[in-house]
Amino acid sequence: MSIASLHNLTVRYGRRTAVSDLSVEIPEGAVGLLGPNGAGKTTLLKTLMGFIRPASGSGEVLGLRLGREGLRIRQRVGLMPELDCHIPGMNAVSFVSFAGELCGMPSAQALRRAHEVLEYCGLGEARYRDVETYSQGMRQRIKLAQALVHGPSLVFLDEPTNGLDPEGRDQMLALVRDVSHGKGVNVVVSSHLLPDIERTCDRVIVMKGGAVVAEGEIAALREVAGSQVDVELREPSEGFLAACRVRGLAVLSVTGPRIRLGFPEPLAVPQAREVSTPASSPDFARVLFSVAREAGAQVRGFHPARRSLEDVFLEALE
Amino acid sequence: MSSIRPLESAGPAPAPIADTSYRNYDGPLRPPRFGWWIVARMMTRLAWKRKGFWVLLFFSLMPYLLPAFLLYIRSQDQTRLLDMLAQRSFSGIFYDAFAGAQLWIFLLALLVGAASISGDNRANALQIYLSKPLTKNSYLLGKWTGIFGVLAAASLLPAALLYLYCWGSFTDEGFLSENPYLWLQVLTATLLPPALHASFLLGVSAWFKRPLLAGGIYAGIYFGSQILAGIVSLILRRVGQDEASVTALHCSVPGVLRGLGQHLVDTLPGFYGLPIRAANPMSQSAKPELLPLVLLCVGLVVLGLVLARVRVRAVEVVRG
Repeated sequence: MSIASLHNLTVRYGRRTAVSDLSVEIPEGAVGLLGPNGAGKTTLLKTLMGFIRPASGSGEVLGLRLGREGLRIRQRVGLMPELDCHIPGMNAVSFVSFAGELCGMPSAQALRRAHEVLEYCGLGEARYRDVETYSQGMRQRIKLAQALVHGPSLVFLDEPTNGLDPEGRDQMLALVRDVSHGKGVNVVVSSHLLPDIERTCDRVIVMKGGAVVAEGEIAALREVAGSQVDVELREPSEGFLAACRVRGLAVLSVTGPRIRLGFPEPLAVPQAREVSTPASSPDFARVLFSVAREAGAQVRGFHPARRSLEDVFLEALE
Repeated sequence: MSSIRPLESAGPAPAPIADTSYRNYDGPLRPPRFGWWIVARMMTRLAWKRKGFWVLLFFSLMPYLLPAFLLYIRSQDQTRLLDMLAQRSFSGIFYDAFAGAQLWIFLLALLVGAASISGDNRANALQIYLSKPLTKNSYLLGKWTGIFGVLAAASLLPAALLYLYCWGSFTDEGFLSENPYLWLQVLTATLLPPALHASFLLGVSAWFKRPLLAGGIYAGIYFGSQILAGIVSLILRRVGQDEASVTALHCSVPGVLRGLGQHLVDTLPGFYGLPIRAANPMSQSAKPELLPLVLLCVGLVVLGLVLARVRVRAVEVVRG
């Protein structure tokens, strides 16, 4: 089931087209919105929030129509904006509970919930401090807290690790991962940082020039077409490589003791519904170990070859 | 011999007592109709928290306390030294206090209103406000109501106290019989400055990212228009256009408030309950013309609201 769907959406800033004829279904769960700067990620989020009126096309967010039910959408959605933002003159509790009240929560509930969410975001100790005195990491956390206070079904996170040091980044990604898995909150993370998306999301939508160029589950996108296996030896062995070639296996790449082997065809296991990957095939294991025995090499491990998300991203952008 | 172990060596930190894991909110959510009221209430609370607000509120009370004190002295004075005060009508006494409080109301407006939108622009708070179920109009209405409410309280409260004092102490001396509708006139006159300041200052504030700059510009317009109107008025008086000179004198932000105040309370200006002598350059033989003042006042209110509405956006849209 999708949480948002867009049909032939076009967004223009004057003469410049930021998003062009975009049609996409955003599925439930944690979805990454990837793309280089200027790809249209933030414009897409702003359109979904109703900040920008599309020039043409239509869409739905949580079953509510874009442009017509903007207020109801925003009541059920949370936004963590990219820019540093807060309401001047407020401490964290006042700020977050005010955000809750703006979403329609009764005052007492908003205050109680603000304490809860601030604790969850790791700001429990600093909740009575003026937000203007917060460090960058704390400001990112409070932006997340105000987005979560009213218990939204969907949260848009625009560059959630902007300006964070490695430790703060780790903590923020752990929070995003936690809230988006098993807590009933769907998350769309917009970022140009591939490791952030890889750590927090299960699916990805890659944008370029205002259009979607790739989408799907990250694990599926990373799978390599054809039959390729990554093998790790205890130490580099020329004899192992030679023996592989003799058996008809293609040596695709060698990085120290790590070798990527290619098969001409995937190995099919008889009477099985699915075509198995070579690594899970007993035939492959037999072949691999016999080659290793012949070459006097020791196999540490092997698994189906996977591309990095960076490879997927670069390929999609080509 | 036993020794006390330091706390640091007592082992790993215990887990928190409270459950800090994320729980979803399934409580009630009101329909998003009254967002403006939440914004207004927050603005009022933020104003109350500032010391400057209480200082200025105290000073805005002074112009009403002074005539009240003089009236009290007059009622107690057997030597009739303050008989001059008796020449001034109660309407006049109220107008003088109203005119005297204008500077403090203006300063209070700067304190409360200069940062109303410019502060939000500086802190990118509009993205927070407008990502909630709050329309641009609700946001502006909330900001306007917040400024208006604070200024109206500061303007109306001392006038109401003076009215109650006069009602309690001077009814026998014709306070109610002199002008039975004075309460309505005073109410209208005291709500006029808050409405003008809230509207015009909101518009000015929307165009800046620094509250200090927005306040400075508004103060510049306030005092600059007064100086300009004074110069034009002087020129007109020199050429013998006395009536036009009086109207011109009131064609400024503070002037329009004083001029409309004279019409609303139906009196000519004095000095804290004492009449101004004809030789004084501040004296007026007649009230300024009403129509230009109404047009100017409505124009400033509309201009401010339009400026704010044009400028307030959830996102900066760069048109290419």
